[in-house]
Amino acid sequence: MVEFSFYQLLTPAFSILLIFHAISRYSRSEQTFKELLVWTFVWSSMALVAIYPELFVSFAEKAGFRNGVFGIVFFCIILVFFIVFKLLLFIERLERKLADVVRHIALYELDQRKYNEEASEEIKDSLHHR
Amino acid sequence: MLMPTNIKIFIVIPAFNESLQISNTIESLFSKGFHNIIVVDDGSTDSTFEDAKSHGVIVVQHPVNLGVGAATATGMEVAKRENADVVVTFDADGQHHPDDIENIIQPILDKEKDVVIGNRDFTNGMPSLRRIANFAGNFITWAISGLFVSDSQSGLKAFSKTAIDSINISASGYEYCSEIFREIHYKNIKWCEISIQAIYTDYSKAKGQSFATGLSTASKLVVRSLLRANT
Repeated sequence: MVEFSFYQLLTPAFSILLIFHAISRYSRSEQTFKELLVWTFVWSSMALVAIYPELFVSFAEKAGFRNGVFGIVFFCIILVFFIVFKLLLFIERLERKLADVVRHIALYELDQRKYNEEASEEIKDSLHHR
Repeated sequence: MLMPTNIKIFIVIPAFNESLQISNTIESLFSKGFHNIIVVDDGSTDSTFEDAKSHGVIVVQHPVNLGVGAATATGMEVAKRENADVVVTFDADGQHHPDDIENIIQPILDKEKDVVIGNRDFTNGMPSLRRIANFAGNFITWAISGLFVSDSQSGLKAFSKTAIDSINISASGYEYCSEIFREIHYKNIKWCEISIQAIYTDYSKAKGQSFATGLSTASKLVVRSLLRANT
């Protein structure tokens, strides 16, 4: 019988949980189909590598890495950089939207102040002419 | 120089926590005959808004602090609504001399240029770390826009109506300075640099762009370039 270590059981369980979470988010229209596919691919790969590490090790060795561990570390670093990059882009887009909203409010308030000042001037004038 | 009366010249002053200096800056502009002033209070926590308003100038207030780029863009928008012919951006910290405005708007009034950049004299008391940061800013501006400018981070700039209509500022922070040059280059806008004075007081040295904000600006510019490539 094949014996699995604790992490080999924990990682697929965690992966399945996150894939179900993604499906549930997708069904509630909180995630796009593309995001669901990427999420499912990433976590299925994690589960696969945990259960069959030799698959990835042989792939990494064929790709030219000295050993499988180097390959895993290399791909993990690339993945982390990609996620950080995506997050930075996301923050940048949010900042732009926030700036648009704030500037819109500022201009609206300026118009309101101008309107109020003009209205009070008109009232003063009409009182003065009475 | 006698200012032409038929030309609407607007001065845009982005201000963040400038209550100590804003009144002096506005008064100095009044004394030189510039009365069309737009102060953009960029979410100050002090009395900048009230102090500026007490002078009877146009004051726009950002509910939260966005950065000098967003404040300048808001000021430009207000100037556009007021049908400005020339817009001059002017720092609130008192580092610019109002006399220089006449010099930098002249090429626009002569219809020779659409953007004029005030080029500060770095040898006259500018802290050395600030000088290095400024050179780095110029280098990054060159990398992004393809234009090498002597003082890309200068706050004193003049824009014609054509330039205001075509330049799009989307950066919120100091990176807007480099973004303007990118727009100038890609939209083939006629520009030049003119030497200006810079008044370095302890106050103005404490304000402005530090080395740390320079690094943050550089990283934001890189992200923005990547964002442009991704959208």
